[in-house]
Amino acid sequence: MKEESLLAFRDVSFSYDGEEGQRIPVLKSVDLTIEKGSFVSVLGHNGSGKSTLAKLMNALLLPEKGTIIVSGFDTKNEEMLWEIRRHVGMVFQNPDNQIVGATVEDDVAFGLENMGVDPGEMRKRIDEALHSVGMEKYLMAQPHRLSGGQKQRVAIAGIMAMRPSLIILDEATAMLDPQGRQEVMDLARRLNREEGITIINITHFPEEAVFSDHVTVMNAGEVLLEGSPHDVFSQVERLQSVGLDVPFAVRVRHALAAKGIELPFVLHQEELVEHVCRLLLTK
Amino acid sequence: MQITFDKVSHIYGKGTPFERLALQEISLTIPSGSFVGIIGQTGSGKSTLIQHLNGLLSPSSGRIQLGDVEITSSKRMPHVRRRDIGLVFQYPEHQLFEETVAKDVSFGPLNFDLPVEMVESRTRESLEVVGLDYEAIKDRSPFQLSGGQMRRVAIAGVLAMQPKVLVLDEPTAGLDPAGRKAILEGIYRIHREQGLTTLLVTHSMEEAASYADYLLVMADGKVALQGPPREVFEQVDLLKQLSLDVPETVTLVSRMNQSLPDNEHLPHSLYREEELIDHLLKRLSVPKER
Amino acid sequence: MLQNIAIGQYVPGQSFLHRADPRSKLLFIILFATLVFLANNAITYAVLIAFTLITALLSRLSLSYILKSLKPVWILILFTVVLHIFITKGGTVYYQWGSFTIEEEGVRQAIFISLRLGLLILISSFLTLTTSPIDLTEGLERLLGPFGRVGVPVHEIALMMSIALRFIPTLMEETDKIIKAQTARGANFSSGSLLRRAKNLIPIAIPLFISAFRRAEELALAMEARGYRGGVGRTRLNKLAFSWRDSCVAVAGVVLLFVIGWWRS
Repeated sequence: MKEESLLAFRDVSFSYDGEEGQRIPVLKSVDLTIEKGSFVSVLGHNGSGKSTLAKLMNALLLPEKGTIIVSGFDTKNEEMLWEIRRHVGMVFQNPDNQIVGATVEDDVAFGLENMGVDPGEMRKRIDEALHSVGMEKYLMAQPHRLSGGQKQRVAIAGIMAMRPSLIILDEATAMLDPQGRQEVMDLARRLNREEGITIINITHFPEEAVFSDHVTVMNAGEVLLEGSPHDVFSQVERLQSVGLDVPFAVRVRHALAAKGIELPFVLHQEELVEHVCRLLLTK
Repeated sequence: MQITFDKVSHIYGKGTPFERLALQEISLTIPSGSFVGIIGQTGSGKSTLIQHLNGLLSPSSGRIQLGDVEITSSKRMPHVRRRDIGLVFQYPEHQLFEETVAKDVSFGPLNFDLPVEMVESRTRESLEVVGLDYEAIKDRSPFQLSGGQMRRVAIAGVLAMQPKVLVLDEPTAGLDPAGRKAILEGIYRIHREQGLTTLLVTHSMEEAASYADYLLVMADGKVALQGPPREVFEQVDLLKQLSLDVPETVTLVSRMNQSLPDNEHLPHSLYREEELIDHLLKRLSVPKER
Repeated sequence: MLQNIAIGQYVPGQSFLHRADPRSKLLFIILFATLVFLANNAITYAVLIAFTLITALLSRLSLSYILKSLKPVWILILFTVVLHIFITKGGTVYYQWGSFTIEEEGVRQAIFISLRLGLLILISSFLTLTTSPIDLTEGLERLLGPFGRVGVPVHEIALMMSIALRFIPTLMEETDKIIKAQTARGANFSSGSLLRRAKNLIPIAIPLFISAFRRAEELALAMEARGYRGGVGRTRLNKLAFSWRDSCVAVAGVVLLFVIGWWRS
């Protein structure tokens, strides 16, 4: 294990009980390393095992086989359980079902209360956390009055208050409208850049993965592809064969290249515009 | 079935401190057989609008004409006519309740007192229309199915009433790309085969661009923009002002046109991905053949 | 719409009464209730009535709104009055018709008992009208805190109450949505026999239960992920703080106690 790796899966397998008592494998010998300070995207369609992956990362589930090391602690080490959960924050899919407090303030306090933080310190951290997600004006607001994106930001504030090293977004944008999705992704990117928080974004929107440092593609409980967005999204056919999409620019470039038009690989629309225009003007 | 709204307004909680104007003098006509995309931000009035279509909400003022049925603030929708308008809510799988898939799908038709044999054949048909194997699935509990299957069963439950108008509120929310595509393709096929009038509420401009032949853009309880997609997507500035995206195809075309001389411009009508790619292929391949 | 039903009829505001600490309000109500039962003559009742009127002014709520919130209990008060007038005997006979009499003691009791009831209900409705459910829960938890030492799971009860408060609006919205979805499928909730109507509730109740359980499950997971492990070692965000308002409430309580104690016969 490298010095700077924050989280590592070594040969991890997991399965759950099926309807008829048989074991259904969800993860098969997964190896994974997450570097400290990186922004990682995990892509996969529903049922690919990506959500199980998330729950294993903060010991909500324990591996059946293999080891998971978080900040140097084995997740099987029960004594370190609470320390691991403090380090690894998790934002879930349904914004309504993860807010505990009857006000925004109460909710951000929840994790701190669990940690036994002193009330004076709590007050300070709540203000800081809400400030860092841009929700300081909503301190006393009732959660059901907020938009989906705002609720997810409150959930992130609740984690930020606990001073985590890693935030896992477990399909946190799946139920949001485009605006809410944008809000959450912008926030995640900013926390990664400015506060040095490692982010793991589990998603099925390929557009969200374009800006990450590293992309892992899950399929049928295994790591199908891994690497930089460039490496992963250049494998268009492989991704599409497992029901995943690629970003728009990649798709268009791929369709053109397939018909023999010479275009270099592009991830972003701007690059595509540049290359296609150049071709059109020099034809 | 033609749908006409004539200066329809809707006020929630009239006379309470929570009063809110959700629709403001909406006037529009949807010709029979069209596939309409309704877009707008959360809270723009989309959901309120579609709930007027089968009498779940009555207009506070104004008039709605659904085929030969007229609805006003005092004239409610007759119960039997609800059948003509199939309304699929967001996350429709949350309304499943029966022990078996077949029973759940037949809930709608039975409510309208259709004969039992007819209900059964409709149940079979509509489950097959959404791509499920009737024999394999009819006796299973809907709660043991996968999320995508549950949603199909719920949609089948609405189709089994054989509506003339199909209204869907974000039918693809929360699904992965493969699931989204399967649902939309299915809806589009039913739309064409059964000659339905279809209204699709969506946040995704891509979805609207791929299927709709007419778009309604809602903002602040009003129709901000309406017309064929080509015309609507030309109003890039207005859409951005309403914090709405335009499809990536449209941004690509307008970005390219910025860097290209006037005589090389791409037409704005290229908002469908396949058409855009075809166009680019044609333009880019020609010189090589010469 | 369903989501606009206010729980506990709380009316947000910034009045003296709104801003007083819920703990002092709760404690004061206990004292006031005791005093209402100690009062036994015209003067003491007059003092209590005057005090309640001052409280009403301090709440800055409109009088008609306060009276409207009492609507359901008018009948109860009226019933008590009638009962006492006809049944309680003693003192001068005011009216006689055959064996039926209205006597001094009966009228006296009818007035006092209905006053007691009215005063108690009024003063406690000031509590719910001026205290948000969240603050009320918080106040109760603090006051019950000492019982935690004798094994009462005060902390868990308080958390349960606050989660319930948090989810009431969400489940209301959900119910509204399910009713609409089933109505769109032709369900008819407003006609038919009683049995049929009861049966019609199934398509609403089942999806609602399933959704509530799903929410509970996801919430439990989210709570665990945020390090929840029961009340042990847990701290609480200190939100309640006594202010000069609470000193006023305390002084008022003491004064009232002495006045009633002095004047009662």
